[in-house]
Amino acid sequence: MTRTRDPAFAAAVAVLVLGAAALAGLIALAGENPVAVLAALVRYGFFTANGLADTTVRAIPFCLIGLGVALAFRAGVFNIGADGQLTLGAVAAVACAPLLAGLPWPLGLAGLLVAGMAGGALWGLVAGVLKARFGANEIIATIMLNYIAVQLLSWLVRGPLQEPTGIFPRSAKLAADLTLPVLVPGTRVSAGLLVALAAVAVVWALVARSRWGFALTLTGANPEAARYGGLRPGWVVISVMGAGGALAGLAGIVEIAGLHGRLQEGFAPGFGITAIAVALLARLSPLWVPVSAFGFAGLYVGSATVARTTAVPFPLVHVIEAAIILAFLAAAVLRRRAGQG
Amino acid sequence: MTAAVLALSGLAKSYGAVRAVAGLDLALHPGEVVALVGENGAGKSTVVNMITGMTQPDAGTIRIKGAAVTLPNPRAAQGRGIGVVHQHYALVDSFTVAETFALGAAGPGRLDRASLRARVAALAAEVGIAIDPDARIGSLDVAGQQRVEILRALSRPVDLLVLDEPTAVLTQEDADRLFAVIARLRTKGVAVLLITHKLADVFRICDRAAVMHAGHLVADRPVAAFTPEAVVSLMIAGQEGSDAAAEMAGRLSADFATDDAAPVPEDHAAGPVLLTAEGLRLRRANGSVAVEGVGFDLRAGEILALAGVEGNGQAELIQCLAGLALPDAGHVAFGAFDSRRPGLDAAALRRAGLAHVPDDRRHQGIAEGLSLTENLILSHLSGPRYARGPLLDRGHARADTAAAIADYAIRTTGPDQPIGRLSGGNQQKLVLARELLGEPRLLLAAHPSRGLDIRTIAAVQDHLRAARDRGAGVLLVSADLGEIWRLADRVMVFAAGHMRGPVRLADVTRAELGGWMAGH
Repeated sequence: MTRTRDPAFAAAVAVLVLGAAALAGLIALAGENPVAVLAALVRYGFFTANGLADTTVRAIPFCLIGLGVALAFRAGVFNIGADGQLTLGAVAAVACAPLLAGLPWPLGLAGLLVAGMAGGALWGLVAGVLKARFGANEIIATIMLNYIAVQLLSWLVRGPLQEPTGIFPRSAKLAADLTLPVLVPGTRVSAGLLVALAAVAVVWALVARSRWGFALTLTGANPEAARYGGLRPGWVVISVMGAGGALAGLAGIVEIAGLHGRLQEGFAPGFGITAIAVALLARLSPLWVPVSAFGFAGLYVGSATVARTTAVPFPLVHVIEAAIILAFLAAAVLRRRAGQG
Repeated sequence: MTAAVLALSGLAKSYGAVRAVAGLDLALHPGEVVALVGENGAGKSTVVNMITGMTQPDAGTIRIKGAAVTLPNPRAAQGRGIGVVHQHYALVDSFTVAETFALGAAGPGRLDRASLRARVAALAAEVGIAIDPDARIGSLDVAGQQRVEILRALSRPVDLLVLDEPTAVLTQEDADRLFAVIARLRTKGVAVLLITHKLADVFRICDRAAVMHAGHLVADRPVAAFTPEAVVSLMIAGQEGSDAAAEMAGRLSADFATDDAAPVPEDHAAGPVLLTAEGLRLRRANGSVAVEGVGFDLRAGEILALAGVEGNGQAELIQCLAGLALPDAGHVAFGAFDSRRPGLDAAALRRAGLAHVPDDRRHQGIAEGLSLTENLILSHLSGPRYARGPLLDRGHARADTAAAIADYAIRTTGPDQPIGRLSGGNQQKLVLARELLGEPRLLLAAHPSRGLDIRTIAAVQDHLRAARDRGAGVLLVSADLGEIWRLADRVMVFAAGHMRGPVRLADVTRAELGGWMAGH
């Protein structure tokens, strides 16, 4: 029967159509032509040289964070704390920078990235241990840790990590040999791109080939069966929060070492939340995460341009993001219903 | 003859290339009890799903009291007077029995608990079901929950009651009570369709039996016109007088024979002690003591059966022995592991040679969304079998799965099919194949053949015997005394919070065992 063939698909289409209609309505409300605005958005984000470079720059952190979110979601652990983990990763790395500055070239940089991963992992582990040991809901714990991270960064750039002159709320610039070199001359695309692609390969191998990756999939599919099979649920939660935190922390230090060159407040606004949309749209598959990240990055870059040239404000991109997340969730719920029927 | 309550003609349903049901004709008249029997995958469940509005037939008509109807959803079937009790109950543990009846039936506004209670009590009295309207669902045993589901099905006007495998989880005593309820419904003119694997049920309570084989209805006659051997032959071969069927029927004769005809098992020379339990006290999830004073040894090369009414601590014992729960008091020891010392967890026990066929397959034993191969890996993830350092040897697992599909005759499209698409019996076969993989030293088997067809039961029992004969120790939890008699060397019983036995099977009669189970 066609009526019951694929309600998930029909729902996804319906939500996307409704979302697009709402979007067009909002643009029209701002006094602009929806078709022209959206066309400009896509054209700049994906089809101009400058736009493409900016999109790539933005895609790097989305991809790294999205990989960690995908890992956690696969295991049924809802890590909403990538923003905090990213911040702590950047903080830990920048704090270690003076110690690493003297080392021969690749060593110091490698140490910086490792420090970033360690900082992020530590922040993720806090929520992981709270859940495994005390049953604290990881969604609430990670959101609260995000706020703590924001305040911590705010204090650090005005205190222990502030630049020597003590005027601006930011850290000193990283030594030149601790920054990621520009990969494509004339753009801001750094070697962070290679870091992100390497991370994709590693996470894919973990998911598809390793026992740990299977443990995540199994825990997500049926936690009770995973326990019966000999997995310790607490260990799965802790390890995946640590891994997700490490990837977010890596994204944090790649942003600093590849783009900003120094620590400052709000250097990655809302990236952790966008990464959730990135991971969901990629259906939690590591190989699709970079594609999805690139798509979202293009929307961001395009929206920013549109906001400069028309009366449509930048938060438009959040509406698009929300529509995509809602479409995904509606489709997932309906698919589950159809599966049970 | 009065008009049929339900008449099916030419009913057919295919799933992809598989013809689940092909051109089925069947009629049920008021007050008639009809058995629908067949092996796993013969199409019984599909018939039930079509009658109850869960799926739509591809062809054919459903007539209710003479009028052709379509049943687009379960609610439509209910509205037409068809009540159904599924194998898996849709109950909420924290609700009381009375509250359960408001589920999906209560209108908006305040819930009138007093009248709800009165209504439930009146209905229970009318049908002859003993139930406390204030009992929490979670505190009821399986039989109690089934009574709630039956009452719920009868809470609307019902002309036809469909019972899917109702006795699979019941003890004989509870089954007797269920049959009394069926007898009473029959006098009220309700037709009953009983889906069952147990031939004893067919010959005890049913007027007619319809036998399905590979999607076809191969026989539909009064029960008096059948012999048990004929039913078995029709189920597994689609015709009477099959040699293989006769052999199987002979082997399973305990299923339809009386006590005295049961073969006394031969003595096996049991080996060293594998597993020791001493002074165990086990609590249920809700904190009540399920059983205390449990102590026994399980030796290599023996099958020790645990009998008793379900809910008396059997599940808790298995969880404890499998390393999934700690005892409240006392201790268990298996090899180098002891529950008094740290280090005893499910993974360590499995590495030491423990295997576990769980009683709750859907919640514990499988992950429905994952493939057969992934479900095979499930309980070997912490062991060395598929470990290559940190990597997982999926190729090896896939080959093992393919071998299991062949050895156990699992009906599937292949190792990559999601296991949730398989029938319950075929899922159980994969669980059993998985747990016997790698020749475990200790096998905990909780209701390994529950809900399976007789050919599969025979295969399962052969596998348990083979495991015993190569020196494994087997703890078999079963509600089926026939199965215990065919397999076990020794038996113990949990009843009324205490254990009896273990004793050698030769030293006890079924009547004595029945008395122990009743708590005497």
